[in-house]
Amino acid sequence: MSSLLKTNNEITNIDEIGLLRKDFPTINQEINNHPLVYLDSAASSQMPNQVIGEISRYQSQDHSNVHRGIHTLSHRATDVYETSRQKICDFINAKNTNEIIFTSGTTDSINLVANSFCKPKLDSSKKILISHLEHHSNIVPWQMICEQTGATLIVAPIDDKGQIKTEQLIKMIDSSVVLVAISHVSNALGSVTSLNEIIDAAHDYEIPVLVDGAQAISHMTVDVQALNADFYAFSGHKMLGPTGIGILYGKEHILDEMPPYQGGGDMILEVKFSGTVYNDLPYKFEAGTPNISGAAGLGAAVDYLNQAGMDNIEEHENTLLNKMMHDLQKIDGVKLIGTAENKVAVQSFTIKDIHSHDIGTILDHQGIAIRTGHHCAMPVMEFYDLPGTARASLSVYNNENDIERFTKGLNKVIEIFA
Amino acid sequence: MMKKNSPENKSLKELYRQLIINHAKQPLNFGKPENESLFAEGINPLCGDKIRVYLNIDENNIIDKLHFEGTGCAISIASASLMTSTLTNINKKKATQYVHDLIGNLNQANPPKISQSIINSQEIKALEGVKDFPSRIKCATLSWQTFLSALKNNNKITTTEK
Repeated sequence: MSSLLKTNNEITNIDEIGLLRKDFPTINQEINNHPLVYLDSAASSQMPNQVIGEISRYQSQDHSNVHRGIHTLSHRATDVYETSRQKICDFINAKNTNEIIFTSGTTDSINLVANSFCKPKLDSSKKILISHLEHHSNIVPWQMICEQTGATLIVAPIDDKGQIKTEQLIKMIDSSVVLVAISHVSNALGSVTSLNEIIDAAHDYEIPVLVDGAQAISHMTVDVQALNADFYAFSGHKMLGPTGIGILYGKEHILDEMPPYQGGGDMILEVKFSGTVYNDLPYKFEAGTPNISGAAGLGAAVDYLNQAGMDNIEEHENTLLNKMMHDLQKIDGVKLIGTAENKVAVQSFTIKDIHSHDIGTILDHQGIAIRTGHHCAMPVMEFYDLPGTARASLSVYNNENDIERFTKGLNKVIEIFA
Repeated sequence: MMKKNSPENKSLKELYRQLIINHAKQPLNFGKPENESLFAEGINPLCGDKIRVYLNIDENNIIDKLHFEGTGCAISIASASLMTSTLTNINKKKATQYVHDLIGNLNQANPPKISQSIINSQEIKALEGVKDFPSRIKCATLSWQTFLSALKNNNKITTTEK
């Protein structure tokens, strides 16, 4: 990752990571008379004051529409919006900002690729390849366009640890496959996909690969050029930014050939009833007034992650994950679901036959927030023959005390169901 | 700051009363019966709970058989179990009124009227613990809603989200 915005605040010592917690106002409150332990960042991460402040600053000082007026505020709004695009471009090491499309989130990004890139290429002889590990947002858009075109959705299997069977996935690649769409990190289990092997294998057949990076982007350095991913999709609200803003990265030559997804303002150069000339990249895919304040917030989130240092964040979260897995296994009746060798920041588990919602309610009562249920990954739950799991997920603001409060809280669950 | 709206420790015990835990662990009338005449399925799409209700009505309009099966949290399984024991051998019309009153009572939307007696039963009172846990009210009402669908032999899936 090319680093940017080296500031005086940049963290150089991993021990300083713990100090960042104070930047997050949502974390510093009581829930049900207990200090909050927030272990649901995989669903949505919290925002630091720097992000909240930038959104507020933009809204109160710079707001106007982008790419339109010649007045000062419109220039400022455009500047905020395009500066954010540049920050994101640098953050994931894209070649240039033509490759960075603002969307409403990962789901929107995937639907854009499904409809604009895939759909025109599909017929009953074609396939789209995904894995059993995917979030619904990387399943349903493909099912929809397969239904519309007669193409087939094929699904690579996973093993008992919750890892994609990479060799089997690679064997499923042939020239009938139009796109491989795969998560970088599983949202339900935290498993990290062996992307390099899969992308290389797909490229041998000149098949592009879309990576759902929603669960990876805030936990590790993502370099789209090193990955050689053709598309990379992620959401602002899972990387300390606001909801309603996300990114589709695409290689410029691929995006260039794709038709617009939605029509409207901003994505055109000239509109006549005899025909319309579409705008250039990246605006071709950004119809209508965009989420400018969301982009401002996302830019600030990128600054924040850079200042914390992605390597520091990864180390901090891995230390906590190891402690969490270790402590969970010491509790009688707890079974870890998802034990991939390479995993990040997420642990799913069950306790005896106690339903995950009961676990969630009893923890919430002690001020501990976790996710329960199917995690929008019903096929993963089906694989393990479970109606759902409890899931604890970590971010930069968590600390060892959170893990201790969490495991202690689980004892209360066991006590009630004894 | 958050104190005002937060359930006290007491309410967790109200939610997970021993009676609820017992019904959740060993539900009554669990499983598909033979020769049931009416059936409906209910799901809570937010959490994936799935309940199937089977029942039979005799020539005098009495519910003489009421079973359920499915997966769900302790609250939804216990509630379904309590439902089967409460409504068996009750007249269909009376049962329908009970269920409407109970759902209304748990949702705190309308106070119970006619079937006061049944709502005052100790067992049904045990379900009222959900009132302090807004996200769990649907767990408690799912099976009762599905019962209403089963009475109509409604083949469409009943959902808590409408």
